[in-house]
Amino acid sequence: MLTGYDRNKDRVLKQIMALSFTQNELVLFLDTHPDNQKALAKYREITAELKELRKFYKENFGPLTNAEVTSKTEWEWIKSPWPWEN
Amino acid sequence: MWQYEKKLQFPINIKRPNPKLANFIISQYGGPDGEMGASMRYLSQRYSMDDDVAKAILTDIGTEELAHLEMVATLVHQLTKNATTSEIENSPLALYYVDHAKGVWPVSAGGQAFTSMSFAVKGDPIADLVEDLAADATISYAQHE
Repeated sequence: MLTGYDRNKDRVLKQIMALSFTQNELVLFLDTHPDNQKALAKYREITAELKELRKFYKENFGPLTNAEVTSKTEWEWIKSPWPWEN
Repeated sequence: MWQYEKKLQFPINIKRPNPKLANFIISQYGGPDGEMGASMRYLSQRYSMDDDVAKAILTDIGTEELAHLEMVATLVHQLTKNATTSEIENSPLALYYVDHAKGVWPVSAGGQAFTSMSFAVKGDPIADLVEDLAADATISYAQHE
């Protein structure tokens, strides 16, 4: 179990959203600047951070994709809320 | 292929219904410059691209437009979900409501159903990329009008 992360689901999800957003911007930049070493280094840094945080989220709050369901006794993917719900 | 992520690209949490605003915003879903057209434009144009940069950027931008599409739909959903019938009747969303109730259907603010005629796929990389520049300019228009 990772420590040092927030225990609030919504706040962790917002951190994931922020990191994903940053990652996606780097992806689009790298698509047109594939040799940019600074962007490549930032991409690697953000991707590693995001991987850790997504692991923490999955283990504590449930799957973000239907390929990372961990529960052996129930299909937790279908649990609300879905992203459009508040 | 694509895999769904159970999150929005950016958080959306609207508490106060506003069917008038929903009727404006639905144009960004299925209107002539909306995300439906944007995602289909980039994802359809990529097949005739010659170089690796163009293939990658159209794939990744087209994919991001699908995330935008979901956010716009979420805005419409949350702006209408708790609206009363009388609030909707007295808003520009009234005629939409006749056929679609509180469903989210791709249409322009003026009631034109989504059509792929709002974007071009010519099978020519230069023609398509120039069309993308024109389409991108509509976004700054939407943001500042």
